[in-house]
Amino acid sequence: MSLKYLLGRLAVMVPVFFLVVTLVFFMIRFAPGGPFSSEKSVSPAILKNLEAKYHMDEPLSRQYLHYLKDLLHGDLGPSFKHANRTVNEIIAEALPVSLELGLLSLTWALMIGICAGGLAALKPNTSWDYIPMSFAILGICLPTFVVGPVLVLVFGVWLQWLPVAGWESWQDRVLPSLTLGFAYAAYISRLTRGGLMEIRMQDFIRTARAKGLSESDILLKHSLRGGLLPVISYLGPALAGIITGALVTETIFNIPGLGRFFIESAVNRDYTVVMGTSLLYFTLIFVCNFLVDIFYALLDPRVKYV
Amino acid sequence: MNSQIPSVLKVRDLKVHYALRKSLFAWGSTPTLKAVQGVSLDLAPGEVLGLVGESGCGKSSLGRALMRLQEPSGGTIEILGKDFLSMRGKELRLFRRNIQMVFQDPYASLNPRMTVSETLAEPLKAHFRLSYAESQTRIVKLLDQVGLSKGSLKKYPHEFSGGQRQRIAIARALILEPKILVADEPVSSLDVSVQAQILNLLKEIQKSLGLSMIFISHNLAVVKYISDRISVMYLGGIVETADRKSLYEKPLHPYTQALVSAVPIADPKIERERKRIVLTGELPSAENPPQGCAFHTRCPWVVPQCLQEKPELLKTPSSTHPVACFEAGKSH
Repeated sequence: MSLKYLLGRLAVMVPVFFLVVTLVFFMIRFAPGGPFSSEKSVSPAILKNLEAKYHMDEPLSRQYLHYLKDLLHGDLGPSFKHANRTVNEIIAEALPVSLELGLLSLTWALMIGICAGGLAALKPNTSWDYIPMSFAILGICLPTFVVGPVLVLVFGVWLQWLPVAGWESWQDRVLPSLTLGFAYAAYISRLTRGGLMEIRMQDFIRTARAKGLSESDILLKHSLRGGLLPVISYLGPALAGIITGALVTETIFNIPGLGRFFIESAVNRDYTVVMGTSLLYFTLIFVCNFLVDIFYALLDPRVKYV
Repeated sequence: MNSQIPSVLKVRDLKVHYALRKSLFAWGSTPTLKAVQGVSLDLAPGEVLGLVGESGCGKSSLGRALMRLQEPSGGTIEILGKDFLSMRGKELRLFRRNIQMVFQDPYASLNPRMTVSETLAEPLKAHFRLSYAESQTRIVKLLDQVGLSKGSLKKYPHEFSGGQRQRIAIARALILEPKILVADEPVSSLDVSVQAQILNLLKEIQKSLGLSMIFISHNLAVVKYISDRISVMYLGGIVETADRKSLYEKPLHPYTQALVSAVPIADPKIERERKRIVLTGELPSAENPPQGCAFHTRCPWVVPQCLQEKPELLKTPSSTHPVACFEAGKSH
């Protein structure tokens, strides 16, 4: 993997980023309604003042150039709906919360998923396989708005082990991260099982056995390295998705994360917040995929990026 | 074979059966595929035994069962006088270094994520306590023996050609200094020009190390070149065993005769005049092998006895070497 390739990959990001900015900017503005339209009619004078304040009275092309100029300075602009707050402030406040929730969930998901999938692959077509894999199907099918309340009901209300909502102590972290991680764990366990099963059919596993290696050595040194590749390529989009896509979980547990801003802003036509969260989402996906690609090449010597 | 010399490998009545998946609505017993049905063989020190037979006759299953990479369903295997099949766990793993295998496909049998050095060092780590320097010396020496340079150490399998990969696979099998080498179609996935090189290498190494070798192939010419003795397999059983010369000059079993007659002769005169025996029909299914002699469905000499009884692999007064046929040696 050459430095040239790495720089090239990063350079590609610039035009794509620009394209995303442009597309999202015009799409959200062409959508019917605007940040200041509501059921309660606002007097024309106030509306005019508001529009002047946020440069909404200027032609669209000027607004666009204006936005680009601010963006280049790292300024995502003021929120149209949350008065006196900038998009930078909103992200700075909500992103760490989402990041923490996301990383915790992903840690759960990886731990549970790889163990369950590995077990299933080691003992295929036994109850070690069927039971975790049935749970995995369940996990993929059940939406978080079912898993979350059920967990709250059992551990929060009946057993009273854990708090039902909030984001203060460490106990608050357990249920939301489990809820959010459940589906990912299910998916990862299926990917792990599939990957390991495929590797275990390969001839070089038989060679390893002929060498006189123990089964645990065969698993750790020969199977896992190749068998976990599908999981790793899934981690990129999963990480980005888990950080930004936690709206339902955040709502159930009343967590001040980014997910709610992402959806709320789109409904409210809060143009700048839509832009800010979209660009953040894009950057996260891009960076995560980039890291996954690098990792991939480290694990498989046949993958060469030139 | 001289009975005074103890054999390094003694196989008696070895069976390899694969359980086939039972269909959801099938009642009764699980169908089994009988890949190897009661094979007995002996291997003397320093001897090369060739195993020939068409695809699906069970020769690869037999090879794998000898190493217990496929668990035999019955019979006994004695290696260096020890009962191999009763070994378990660590004992089995460590004993395996006495019998090593070169696999058919050098593209698949080497882990693509390990360098040559890692691949070769791994068995040493599993069996001996060697310092890094000691194991590297052994690896370099062995690589040289199989005709690869020191520069190969840090390379990955995909950076080599098929022939070179098979050299790595041979080095991999030899690094544990086995007494017995099982070569399962080691050249059949290689280009013809490379086949000869690998065959010569195997022969050379076998001679210089005094290895006992079982050489499995479907290619008669290849087996003839390398083997001292040859066993012919048909549908999971050995039908004839003879030293190389008598097998080609005086084949006794009708199947062997058909095989030998199918090899072209590089003399147009003889080639035009010689009689070829062409077998009709297909190899019967190993899932449901014929009663009596397995070959009777395609045999030109078939008599009523063949449909009832299974002929043993025996040396009869009229035969020069063991053959499993009631009619062998009689005039046809």
